[in-house]
Amino acid sequence: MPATADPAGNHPLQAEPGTAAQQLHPERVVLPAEDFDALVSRLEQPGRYDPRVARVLSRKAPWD
Amino acid sequence: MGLRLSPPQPLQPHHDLTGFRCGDRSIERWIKRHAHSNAENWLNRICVVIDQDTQQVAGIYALTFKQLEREALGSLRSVRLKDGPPLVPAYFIGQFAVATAYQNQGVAGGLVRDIFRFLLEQAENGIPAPLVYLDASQEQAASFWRYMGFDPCPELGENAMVKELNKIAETAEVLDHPDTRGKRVRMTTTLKWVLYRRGLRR
Repeated sequence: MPATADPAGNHPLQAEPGTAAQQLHPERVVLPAEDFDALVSRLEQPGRYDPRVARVLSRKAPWD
Repeated sequence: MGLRLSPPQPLQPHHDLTGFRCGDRSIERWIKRHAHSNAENWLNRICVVIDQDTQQVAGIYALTFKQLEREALGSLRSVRLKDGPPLVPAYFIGQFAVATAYQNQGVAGGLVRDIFRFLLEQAENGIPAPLVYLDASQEQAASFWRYMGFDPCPELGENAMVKELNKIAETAEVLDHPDTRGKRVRMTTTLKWVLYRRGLRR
């Protein structure tokens, strides 16, 4: 289920032109309880080695 | 002669963005209209990579802070930690672009590496957030972010992609990365700290 806007209408993923989200302001994002709980469960999973992240962290940038 | 690029650095008023071209008009428009004012007003962390020979901006990203909240939160004072966190701080990658002349030369990957390092630093000394996410509405963008370690996150939106801090931290720990050596970031600790600082934890 997609996230919903807060009472002020702010949502980073469903922004109308000219909104705070398009201007990229810090903001509150209110999620349906079901989605929020699923997200927290996901975040509470133990950290594990991620080879894709390892590739990013180990890569040499042009400025190195 | 090879490229001489600066490491990512905070956007400063003297950085010229007027000629920035990346092939995406909406990003170019945002950069011209909002980048300098948002940086000056501390609304975003905006970092740029500068070509040291031409002083042109080769790459740019903009992060902002989001507070993800559970709906029907009610009075924050009534929330107990045992019920789970009522809010989650997050960083949102709002803009990310490499100038056309500098594409396919490793600039984008270097910018993502800088974002990961920033999250690790913030977990220790700044405003910790357990995740960073973005909106990858184009398939090409989704492929790039998947390659960079991000995963779809339908809870945050149809095109949202996320990377969890604990996976970045654990990977950095395994790599024994100099930026994170001796530091171990735990998701639960991060959340508890945030809640404590906000007076929500008794």
